[in-house]
Amino acid sequence: MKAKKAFFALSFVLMGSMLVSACASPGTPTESPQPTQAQAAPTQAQAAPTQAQAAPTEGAVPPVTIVVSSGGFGNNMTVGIAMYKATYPDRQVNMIVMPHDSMYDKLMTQLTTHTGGVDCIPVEIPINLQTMNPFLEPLQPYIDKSPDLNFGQLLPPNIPAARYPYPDGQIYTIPVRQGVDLLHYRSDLFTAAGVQPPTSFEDMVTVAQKLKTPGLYPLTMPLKQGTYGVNSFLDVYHGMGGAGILNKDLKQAALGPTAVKALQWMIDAVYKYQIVNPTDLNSQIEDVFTNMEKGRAAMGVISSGNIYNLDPDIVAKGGSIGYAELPYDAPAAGNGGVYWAYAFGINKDSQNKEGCWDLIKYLASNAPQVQMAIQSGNGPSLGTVFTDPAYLASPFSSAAAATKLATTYALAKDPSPKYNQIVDIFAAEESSALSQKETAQQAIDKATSAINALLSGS
Amino acid sequence: MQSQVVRPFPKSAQLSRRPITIERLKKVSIRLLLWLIALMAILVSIIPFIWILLTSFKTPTDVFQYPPRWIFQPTLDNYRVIFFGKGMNFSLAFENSAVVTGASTAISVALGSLASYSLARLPLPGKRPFSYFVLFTRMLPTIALMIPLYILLTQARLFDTRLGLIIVYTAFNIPLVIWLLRGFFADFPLELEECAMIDGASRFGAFLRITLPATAPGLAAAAVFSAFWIWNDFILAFLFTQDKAVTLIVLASRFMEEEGVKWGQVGAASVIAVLPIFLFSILIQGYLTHGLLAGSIKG
Amino acid sequence: MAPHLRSIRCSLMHRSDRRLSILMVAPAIVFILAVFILPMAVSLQQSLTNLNMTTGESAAKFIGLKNYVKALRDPETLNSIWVTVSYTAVTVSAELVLGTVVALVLDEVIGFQRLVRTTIILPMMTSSIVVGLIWRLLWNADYGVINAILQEVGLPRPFWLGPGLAFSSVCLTEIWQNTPFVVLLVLAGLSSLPEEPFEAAAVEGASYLQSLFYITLPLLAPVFLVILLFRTMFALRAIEAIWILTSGGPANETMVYGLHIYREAFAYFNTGYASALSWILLVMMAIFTFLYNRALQLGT
Repeated sequence: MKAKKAFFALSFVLMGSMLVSACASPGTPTESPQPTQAQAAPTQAQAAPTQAQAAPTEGAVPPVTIVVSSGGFGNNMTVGIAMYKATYPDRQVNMIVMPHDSMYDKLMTQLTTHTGGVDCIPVEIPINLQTMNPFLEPLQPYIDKSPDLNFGQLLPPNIPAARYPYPDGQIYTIPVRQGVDLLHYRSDLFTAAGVQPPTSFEDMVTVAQKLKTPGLYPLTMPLKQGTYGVNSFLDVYHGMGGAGILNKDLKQAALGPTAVKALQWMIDAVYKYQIVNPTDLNSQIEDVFTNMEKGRAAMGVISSGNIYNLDPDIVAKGGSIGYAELPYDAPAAGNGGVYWAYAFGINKDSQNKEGCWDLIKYLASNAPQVQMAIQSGNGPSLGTVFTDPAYLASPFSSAAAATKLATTYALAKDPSPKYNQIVDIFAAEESSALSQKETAQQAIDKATSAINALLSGS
Repeated sequence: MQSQVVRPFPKSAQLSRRPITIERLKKVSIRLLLWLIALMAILVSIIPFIWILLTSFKTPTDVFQYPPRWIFQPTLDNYRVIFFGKGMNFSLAFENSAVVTGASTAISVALGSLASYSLARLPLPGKRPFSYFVLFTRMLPTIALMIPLYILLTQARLFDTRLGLIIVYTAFNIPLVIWLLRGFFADFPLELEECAMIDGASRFGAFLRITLPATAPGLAAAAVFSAFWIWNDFILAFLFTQDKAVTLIVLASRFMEEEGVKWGQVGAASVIAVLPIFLFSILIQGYLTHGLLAGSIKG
Repeated sequence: MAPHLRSIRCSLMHRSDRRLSILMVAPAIVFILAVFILPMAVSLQQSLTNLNMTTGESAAKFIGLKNYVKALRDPETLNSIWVTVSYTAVTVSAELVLGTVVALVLDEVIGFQRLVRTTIILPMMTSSIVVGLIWRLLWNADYGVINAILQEVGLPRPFWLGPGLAFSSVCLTEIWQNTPFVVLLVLAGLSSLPEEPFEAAAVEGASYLQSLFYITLPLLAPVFLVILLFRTMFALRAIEAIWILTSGGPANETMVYGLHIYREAFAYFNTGYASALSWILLVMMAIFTFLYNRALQLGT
């Protein structure tokens, strides 16, 4: 009986203390978020001095909450945000890292329910612009009073669909990171086989056959069902003369014979010419890196914004990396790889719009952009970076020439508000065709009808 | 008077009481086969965990080694990153998990036992439909309630707070507790309570002093089940937290990055998320079986 | 206790009893009301509109049962129903059979009971997310242990999470995680079986298999029913491990209903449609509960 009494007494005490601690925890709305901020503040070695200054000060500017996705994006922004904090010690930034897969979902859930917890919102342009715009603050008033923002140099001007003024002519976001798909190749393996990077798709097959050795699949690309698989398709599709998945008015699918040809080439690459490993059907970008690094592939389709992972490892092992444009069959403007960019906008429900503006303006300025490019391989959104001496002296600049060239011809994705669903539909059909469950023609036909059904407003 | 509620778990292995099989056990080959199957079962259960434990000590190069290596140079880097790296806050997540699990379990067992006793004992209108409803709530796909709950929590300013999580988990758990305890309370002999009441105790007093202590194993089982699923839950914690009230399991899922999966860190996160549960289950292993059986069959 | 007192049935004040009973149930009811009933009502209302969170509440129109009709004709929804039903059927039956076999074996094995039971239940105690993460690495065609072992033995290395195999891999993972549950329940059931039927059978000279099929299994029927109920309930709702393993699988091969709802609700923000999908599942579950209760009543 005594043991049982003790048991109950203990459990009541436990319950009581849990309740008390739950109410007094930093997680409840009665407390300010500042105590957890010191823990959440991301730093790198050179930003160590700012750690001490991250302690909350009374009466200072309220902290700015900014979201980044994990991986490359997060790594890059960490550098820039650390520099911001070092430059303005009295300003506090709360950086939240969300997994890439669910970042968009979580952000949209918060935006649509006006939760207001995040000040600076990352937007992948142009695809998310239409859905996120209604919740973002128009930036023109802020731009007008910021003469130090080098606006003209942001984004190459010849990709109109990627421009942030969309679609009502208003500007909602400031781009900080961009990339275009390039062909990365092991120049050491190429020299050994005596070949040059291919310039057409037919050439690609020839070159690949020469590079083929046991255990090596010459070409690797991310084909996992999803956004990146569709990107890989778009790279081939653009190179063969195709434009977007949708036509210009975004009301209908524009997948014609070129799309079938592109998908067929991909299928052949895996099964007929056997230059792509069938396990690439589950590959993400990381796997492409690894394949290149381990010498299991000689060429990889990787975005110029993700090269940070590649060089040091390969160089350390005595390999060398070269960068080239993706192959194309029809040399005309608009036959480049897939272009993407990340930008930041200000949440309309934010309590700290000025603070957010200061931060994102800073992240798009020259010094941080150069450092983000040099230290973590960010794809710069600011044109002046490409002529900066520090950048040119860094190993990442070897990709600069190919990047600039590819960016000239790159195509952005269709800026439709239903882009996510369209990608899901297409990705399923693409995956089906790549696993030989249906022919390329069938896949394209099914995708076309499904996309049209979706867009016709069911 | 034999307690029908729960039999003490046998500490030593019981010889099978079925006379037919004893004959078979004498055949060595049969025994060997049985032992082999048992060994296979253990191996199949354990090896995946051993592998993820090994992975948590590997450098990225070792992780992507082909063929996979069992012997390698271990590193503590992955653990360092998840505890001190940017954007990661494992100690906070651990604390959140512990507090949320503890509080939700305690409150839901308390409230659930009250409700369950009431359902089992006392005259109440609408008893049967209510117990059907209790089972029904266990069947709900949680996704169904997410958006309305999300809006509710946001408006109550409980989004991304421990209190919000506790409220949600308690509410989701109470039906489970009621369900598990129903049999215990129904089987508890009425006479004992009534004797206490004759001695001058109130109904509620009898409940507290007689019924509850005697059904303590049932309560313990309910507490164990509650704590176990709340700690391990992902969906609710994922949807209702952002960075302040993040739990351990949600953090463990955050290593699927843009470019791929950081297996070393996934390994470290998994090990830490799973370790408390393992230790706990080793401790309460005995009660698990009987609580499971008693609660679910009588239910 | 004085024996003569035990026989007195103390019928106490009913009114205060009633009040007490309502008081004791009240807190639980409050929680359930707030977190279940209210959102369920909202979700029902939303299912009758074409609400899309990105366009907002103001743009939502009442459309009656159109969402439900759409769901029953939507090929993706139908596919996910098929996937879920086959997934549940395969995993639950495999778990039942495998779990019973293992339980029977463990029941006969003497010694090390504690060790065996402790290790066997570990998969069941692990969070589904962690199970998904662990098995994603194991199933990996290039770096996974399974393929490494196959390679050693000289067998080809299949692409486990790829087309054609993804469904089976996902099922195997679920079976691995949940068979211990079956084992535990059956073990407990076995330990509470009465001895008399077995003694009688031994006297009549029955073999092990005969006693198994004619005595043991029928006596375990209630346990099996409970297992069936619980495992079906949870398998129908299981999305976490699958999400990690394949996110719906190559070409929607492993897109279970729960994942489909999640995608509609949180990736496309078709809240109205997603709510309708949820309610369809709810109704199915309710029918299943009803049938199960009937079976229980018939059984006992």
